[in-house]
This record gives sequence, C-alpha cells and structure tokens, in this order.
Amino acid sequence: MSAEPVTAAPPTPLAPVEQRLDYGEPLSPDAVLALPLFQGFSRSKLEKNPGAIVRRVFEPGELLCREGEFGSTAFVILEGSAEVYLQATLGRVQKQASGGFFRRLKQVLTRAPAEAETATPRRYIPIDAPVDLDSQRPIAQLGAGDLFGEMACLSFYPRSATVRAKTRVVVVEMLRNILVELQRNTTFRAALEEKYRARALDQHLAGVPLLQGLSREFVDALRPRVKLLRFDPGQVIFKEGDVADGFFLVRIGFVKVSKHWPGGDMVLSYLPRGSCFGEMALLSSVPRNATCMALDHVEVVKIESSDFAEMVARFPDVRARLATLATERAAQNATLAQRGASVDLEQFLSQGLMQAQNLLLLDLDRCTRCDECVHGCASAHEGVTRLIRDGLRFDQYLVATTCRTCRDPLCMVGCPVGAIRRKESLEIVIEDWCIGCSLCAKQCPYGNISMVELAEAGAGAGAPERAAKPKTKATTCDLCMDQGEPACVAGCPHDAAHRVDPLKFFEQRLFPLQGVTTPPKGAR
Amino acid sequence: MRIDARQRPWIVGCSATLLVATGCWWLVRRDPLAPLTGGSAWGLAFGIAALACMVTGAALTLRKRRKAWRLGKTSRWLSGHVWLGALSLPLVLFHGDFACGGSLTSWLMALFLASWASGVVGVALQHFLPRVMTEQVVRETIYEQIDHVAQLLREEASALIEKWCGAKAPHPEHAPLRDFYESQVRPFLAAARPRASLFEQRSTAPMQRAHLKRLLPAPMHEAVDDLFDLCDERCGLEQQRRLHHWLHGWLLFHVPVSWATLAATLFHALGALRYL
Repeated sequence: MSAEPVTAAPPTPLAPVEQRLDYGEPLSPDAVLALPLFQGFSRSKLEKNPGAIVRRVFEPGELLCREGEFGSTAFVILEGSAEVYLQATLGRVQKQASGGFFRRLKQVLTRAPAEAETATPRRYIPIDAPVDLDSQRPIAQLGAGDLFGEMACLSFYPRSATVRAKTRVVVVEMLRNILVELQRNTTFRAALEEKYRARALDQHLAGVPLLQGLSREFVDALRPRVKLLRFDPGQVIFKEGDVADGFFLVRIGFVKVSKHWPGGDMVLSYLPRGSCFGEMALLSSVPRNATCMALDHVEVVKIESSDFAEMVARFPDVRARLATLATERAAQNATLAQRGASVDLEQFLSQGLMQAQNLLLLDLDRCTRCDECVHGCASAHEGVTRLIRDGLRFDQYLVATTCRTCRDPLCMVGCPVGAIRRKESLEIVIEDWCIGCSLCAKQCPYGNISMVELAEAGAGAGAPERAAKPKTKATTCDLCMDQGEPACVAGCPHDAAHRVDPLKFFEQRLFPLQGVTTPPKGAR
Repeated sequence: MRIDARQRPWIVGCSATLLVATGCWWLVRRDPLAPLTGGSAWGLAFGIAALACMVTGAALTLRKRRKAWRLGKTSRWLSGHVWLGALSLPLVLFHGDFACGGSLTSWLMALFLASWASGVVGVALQHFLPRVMTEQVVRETIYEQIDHVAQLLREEASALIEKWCGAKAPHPEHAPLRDFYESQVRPFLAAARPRASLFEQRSTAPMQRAHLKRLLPAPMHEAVDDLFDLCDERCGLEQQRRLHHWLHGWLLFHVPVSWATLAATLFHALGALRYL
C-alpha cells in the first residue's frame, strides 16, 4: 500500500513545445502583419519566433488534424471551409440487460420498455473549436476567420475532433507562443468575441441542458451583454465567501471547484467545457460557497447577476432546473464534507485510500482466487471486465484495480470532448462520444481506466470516415448503479468481495477488531 | 467458503431439518409392521428430500453460468450447495435405513459418498487455505500471470548481475557473486517448477546470504540482498501455485463425480418409480 497522495494539478504536458514548424510555408513578419487578423500584433515577437507561424493549403478531403492525436498548434482559417466531426463511433461497452430475472420477467409481462442505462444529458458535444457538435449528427462547418485547436495548443490536450477540408482551405497554423500573444491582442480579441457572440453563443447556451428554453429574443438581448473572460492556469475565478456577481459557462478549459477544509482544500468537482457554475449563490442570494479556479487555460462566458436574475424571472423552467442543480450540488458537497470530517485524514492519505469514495475490497482470508468477480463483471459488460483482481493490500484486504470514484477525480481533467464526468451519485461515467485518446486512462493514478476496442456498430450520422476502423474507448467501473449491487459483489461465491464506503470502513479499521467476522458497516 | 458466523442461518436451518428428519426416521423404524425401505412411503419421502437437496445444490453451476441474471448473491447459492449437500447424506442414509441394498445401489452409494467426501475436503481446503496464502504469499499475483512474472524476475536478476559484475571480464572481487548467480540463482529462476532449493529453506537461506556477503565488498551487499529478494519472490510465486492447485484441484474430482452421482441418482429414482 504505497500509493502517492494525489493532489490536483494541471495535466502534465504530453507533447514537447516545438520552437518552429518545419512544414508549410513560413510567413515573414510582413506577411503576417498583412493579415487582417494580425493587425496590431507585435513585430518583434514575430521576428523572435521565426517559423512559429506558417501558411498551409489543404485540398478538399485532406485532414487538417485528427481526433485523439496530440498537437501543439492552433489554426485560423483564412479561406475555404472545413468539416469538423468525430470519427469515433458513438458507443461504449454496454451493460447486459439490466435488472434481475424477475425484473426482466416483469418487463416482458407488462411490456414495459427496458430502462435506459444512462441517458445522455447533452445535446451538443463540446470540442476544441468555436462550434459544438450535435450529438445526433456530430459534424459541423468551420469557415474563414475561425480559430480552432486552442486547447490542444495551450494545454497540450489531444485533438478533440477531426477536421477535414471541404473546399480548398488556406490556414495559418501557429505555435503556442504566437497564440498566447494573439490572444492578448485587442483587435484579435475583439474579432474573436464578436464572432463568438454572433455565432457560437446561441449554440453554447443551447448546449447547456439547464438553459434550454430561453427565447430567441432574450438571447439576442443577452448577446451584447455577456462577457468573455480568460484565466490563466491557477488563476482564481471567484473565491469562497465572495459576493456573487455572475453566472458562468465554461467555453474552454477546466475549472476546479474546491472548498476550504481544515487540513487542506477539498476538490468538489472539475467542470469541463459546456458546464456552468455560480448559480447556487445567485439563486440563494448568499456569498460564494466554493472557490472556482482555472485548472488550465480557461475561457468562460459570464452572465451578469442582473441578467441572470432577469433570466430566472422570465423563464421559470430554467429557474427550476437551476434550483434542482443547486440543491443536488449542495447535497453532494454536504456528503463530501461530512465524509471528509469523519476520519483522520492524515493517517490514510499516504496510502491514497482517502481519495476513494467507493472501494472494491476483496477479503483475502475468504477469497479463493477463483476470479468469479472478474467473470461476473465481464458478463455484465459485454465480456469486458472493468476490474483486475490485483492491486495493493490493506490489512487482509486486496484493493482491487477498479474505479474508486476518487474525491479528486483526476481522470476528468483534460478530456478534450468532456466525455468523462461524475454523476450526482458520484460514479464516474464515460459518455458515448469518447474519442479514445486515452488521456483519462493516463491521468488515473491507479490505472483503473482501461482502453478497449469496440466492435464496429456500423457507419452512421453522416460523418465522413466514421467507422473506418475499430476505435478504442475508455471504460471504467460504473458500480452497476442501476442494478442494485455490483456484478462483482453479486458474483463472488465466497462473500469476499465488498464495495465499501471506505471512510466508514476505515473508521472501523482504526481500532483493533479482534474476531470480527461480519463485514464492516460500509460494505454492500 | 469460510465457515463462520455468516453461515449461522444455514447451520441452524439444516440442523433443525436434520433433527426433524432424525425424529421421523426414529419413529418410523419403531413400527414393526411397516419396515423402512427405499420403496416405502417414508423411504421415498427421505429419498425425494435427498434428491431435492442434491438438485438444489447442483443448481449452483447454473447460477455461475448465468452471472448476469440477478438470482440472488452467488455466495448464498454456494452456502445452499454446501449445507444442502451436507444434509443430503443423512437423508440418503434414512432413505435406505442405513442399508445399501443391491450392487447397483451400493455403487451409487459409493459414488455419492465419494462426491460428498470430496465436497467436505473442498470446504475444508477453502476454509483454511485462503488465509494461508494471504500470510505466506505476500507478493501475490494473478495465477495465470505467474510464469510471466517469473520471466520478469529472471530478466531482473540477469540485469542486476550485469550491472554489478559487467557482461565481460568480471572483476575478481565480483566473482563470488557471479559464481553464486550462475550456480544457484539462474538455475533456480529458470526452472519451470523450482523445488527444494536453498532459497526455499528458511534456515539455510539467511546463512547463505550472510556467507556471500562476507565474500564480497560492502558496496555489493545491496546486490546480494536484491538477488535474494528476487529469489524470495520466486519462492512465493511457487508457493502460490502450489496453494492454488490445492484450492482448486479437488474440483477436478468433485465436479465430475457429483454430476455422475446426480445422473445415477436420477436413473435410480426413475427406475425405482417404474417398479413401484
């Protein structure tokens, strides 16, 4: 048991910073400054970085970038149009028909439809471009003046989508140092914001399920009033205790939500692109109850508190949804805080187990190493197991290699399409639009996310090159939440497998338990 | 399966059933006018109860094959398998009033006893051995991975020797380590089933380690420790393999014999019913 303490940190850069691009047509400072987009750009910066910005031409059908690949450049389209789409087939390792024999029998008898495993809550898939992709038909158009690949360039995340030239496309491709400078340029910022307000704001608002139902007239009125704010990694967006002055939508990057706690901050959540925050304090007219910080290069859309008040007053449905979300978040935060308070943090931090909210423990004194837990898991998930019967030992327990639903879910940081998220019931789920970049698997400190090759479900949705080759998808334990009991636990013939609330479990382990033969309180 | 307080409901239930059955058997055999035989009403009742226990116990296999079906926890099915299987012996004995009958039924009885006894042995092994394995094999791996891990240990040992002694022209000071590696460690790690090695003997291994350290300069003592640790781990893996065979090997006997017993019992029941 020697897991390192886990702390939230921006993801390690996975691609080296290139100093110059050795392809395309290098642009001289004069040529760059002649472009309308670069007016007012620092000439000295361009002179200091020769080869950091190139002009490239793509013929129709050529790929500008491919999803899942790591890149360190951003693109601005000068001429032509391109398609942006997901090549990965939408899908994941499904559970077998959920429920027990009797539930299925009841379904047959009552002709009730089988319950959906996890309803996809979003209409739009967030990508690293000024447009989002419709989850039903994940393909969109990019045109002249569009900037894409910002997240990949700034934070070295994998490309979130594939971009292909639809017509002859001329682009400017730039390295990080140029993009950073460009973003400081007021002309460019103004143009970008204008473009965002004109084109992407509607889609962004529509992509947030909570805000669906806003009238066209209201969005038009909101358009000039919203603010686009940028934050550097580590910069605080607002602090716990601050007066609430706005509601935020994440446009780029990841926002860390944490709460001050004796002994250190407790991470409540990581919010990817497309998420919203700041509603709790506004709805209740109380100070901020958590700190929100930019984990990487973050851009947020801020709706001022007065506009927010008008919005919730005019649209009761939106208000109701936001209130529900606020209640759920408050309950979740309270649960986390209560759990955090109930045990000695110091003692177990060094073992990494304090990070876990739900551990699969195998009682080695009972386990005959028959692997029925693994087979049980595999049989519940199309033959793909989500657990490995191996790992570190704690006392006579084996902490199996499977999702621990960490308090600080590092796996969620950096997903270029926001496909990995934590449900209200705390389990981690991976959505169908996972592009298989494996970043979450690399980020998980315990190796509990595995990449599996999915059988092709056939081409569809109109995206070119889709289903061209089998794609890997990330998969992790979902605790079989809809089945009452995890398949591994139900399948263990020796009553050795237990999914435990580790804090209750640890509470008991703090004291010598001689002769205890019943499972700890937290075991299920 | 571990026999502990969690089995109490089963123990109580089966003990009560056994008590009732024993009472019935005792009362029935006191009646001189209606002797208890397999074909008598009470004999049949005992036989049917025994068969029901056996069939219910055998349903564990079905449960294991249908893991996705939520038909209760598998552990409860295993408990049922064990305790109903145990209960079936007295019921079978009551069924024939402790007589085996003809040669066919004697063979059936022998088969049943073999199945029952192997089950008891299996329960005993699975009660004790998991704890033994936990204590003795600290660096346990997945059973199927043992050969792979052994291969990694071989490579690690080889790399260790290369690091300390060099691939070519070893220094005379390092010779004892290389000699020890060549003569003892490499054959031990290379063996598919290393046995009776000095590394497995808890008394001699520390002496050997101390002796080797005396022959080598102090900076190389770390290498000696590393080498012995690798051998220790290999010993542990071999111990895990042995214990694993004990834990599951008995099933190779128990499962076919049990199915044969069940088939023969059904044949016996159908045959007996025909001649009733």
